[in-house]
Amino acid sequence: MNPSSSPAIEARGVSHRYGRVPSLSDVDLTIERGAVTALLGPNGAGKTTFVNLVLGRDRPGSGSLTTLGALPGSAAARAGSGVMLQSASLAAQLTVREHVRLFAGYYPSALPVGEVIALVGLEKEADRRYGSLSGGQQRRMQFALAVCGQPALLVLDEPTVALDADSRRLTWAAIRARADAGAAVLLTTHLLEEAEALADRVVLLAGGRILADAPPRAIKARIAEQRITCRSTLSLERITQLPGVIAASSHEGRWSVRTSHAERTLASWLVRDPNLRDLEIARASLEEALAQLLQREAA
Amino acid sequence: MNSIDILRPSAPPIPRTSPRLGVIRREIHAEIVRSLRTPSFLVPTLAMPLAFYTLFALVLAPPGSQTGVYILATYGVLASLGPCLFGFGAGIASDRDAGILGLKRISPLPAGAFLIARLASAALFTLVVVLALDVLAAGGAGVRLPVQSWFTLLAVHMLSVLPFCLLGLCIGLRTGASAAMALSNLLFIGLAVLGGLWMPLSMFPPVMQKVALALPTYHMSALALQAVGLGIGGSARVHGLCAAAYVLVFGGLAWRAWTANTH
Repeated sequence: MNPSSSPAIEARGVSHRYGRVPSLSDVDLTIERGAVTALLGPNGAGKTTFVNLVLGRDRPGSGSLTTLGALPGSAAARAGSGVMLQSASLAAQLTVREHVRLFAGYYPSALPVGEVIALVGLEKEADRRYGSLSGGQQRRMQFALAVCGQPALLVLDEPTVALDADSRRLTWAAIRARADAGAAVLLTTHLLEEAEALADRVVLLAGGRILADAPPRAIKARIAEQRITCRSTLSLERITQLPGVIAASSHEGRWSVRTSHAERTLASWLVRDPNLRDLEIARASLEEALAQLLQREAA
Repeated sequence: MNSIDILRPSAPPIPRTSPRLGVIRREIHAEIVRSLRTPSFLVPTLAMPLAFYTLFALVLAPPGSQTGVYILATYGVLASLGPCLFGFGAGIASDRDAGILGLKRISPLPAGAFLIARLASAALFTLVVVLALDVLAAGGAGVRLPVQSWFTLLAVHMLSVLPFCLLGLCIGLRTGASAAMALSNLLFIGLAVLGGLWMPLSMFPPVMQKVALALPTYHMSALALQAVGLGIGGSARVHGLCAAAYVLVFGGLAWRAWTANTH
């Protein structure tokens, strides 16, 4: 197979377990080039396990997996990959510039060192040692090493954890630019917002299984539940009949209502009870939304 | 400008192609820079054999004694044991803990290049201390040897790096950073004392002399002593074979540890 035309990652029936605990069950997934694919899921969903398999850090218990058309972890697969791990540090004694120069030297068509440093906004820190950088700067440094070689496959495990809002936007733009230049980007995140802002495709992972594989908008519609809390004189029966309502309960006179369409729910609610007060609306956490989705699918 | 600034590498251009040797050369350079910027490791490891040589060969040795020659041979082995266990072995363990090794292993860097770079760095520091010992011995303690003996001695001291670093690698790949440091300390003292690097084995009870036969430090120091004409028994051939056996055993164990854990 021609490595430049093969999918960046191809997983067929991949399963993996840690001891007796299954971490991935029968995963089929093809990651194409020129797009950002987000693996979205709560902690323990199997995201990092999948990343480790793609990188050859672990072997699947069953199924087949290729990275850039080659065995994961092989020289051919590594040569075309840039990686940012979730829990990896760099040599504290070397400066930003030295790190970039070293890693850029691993790749045949690396970006110029100065350009890489500018890309992650570390110009002022270029001659500072890694050990003296702040947590966010260290993450940006790690990201710089992942992209410096202009790899065909960019694998980023929770790339924006510990980043402030500005750095996050900078990183998102750089990730987007790599995909637009034709690279396959696989990133893991537990933030729906990040997947929504960045990804062309979201693979929803929970309990080691793929729950959904769709554009971010479609995923959001399925899991973007909201929670309305308020005081109201309406009865439970009438509240559950409001449009969009999934479930409702009350605690100390305060209603807590989960809905798929907060605006529609509230519009009808206010018509029926104009004295509704103490209103709060919040996005349900990904964990809550996924638990609900799993329940619905099991039913 | 402080001394560290001088060590900052000048900026070589990034090559458009990545020949293996160039990659490994830059990796070695980076590892040496890292070590030089970690004086807490560097100073004790490098200074200890020199300080003890000064004390025992220059200050305390009675005039006309063979002490200066004898401990030149054995301290040179000690000088390679330190960087191999602490710099190389324990260093690998802490790099592994920090995820640095894991990141190198999934990078396009040729497999093992990182280990080779760290090994080269340990060998370089060994060379520096061994040469400094030689200068101290010739200049300070008045040690006179045939030219060939100097070179044989240097070769034995430098070859010691191989079994000792492979031992360090076994520890570094199997234990965490703090355990590796503790174990290295124990091994350093144990291998040095029981292998006869501190004081001649003839001063030990017979049981301990038997124990020494099983230690790599004993065979390396026996080779070094033969090189300076103070052989302690056994042919160079046997000691050499024993040292080679250690290289194979530690190498095999390190290989198993390397392939068992890819993180």
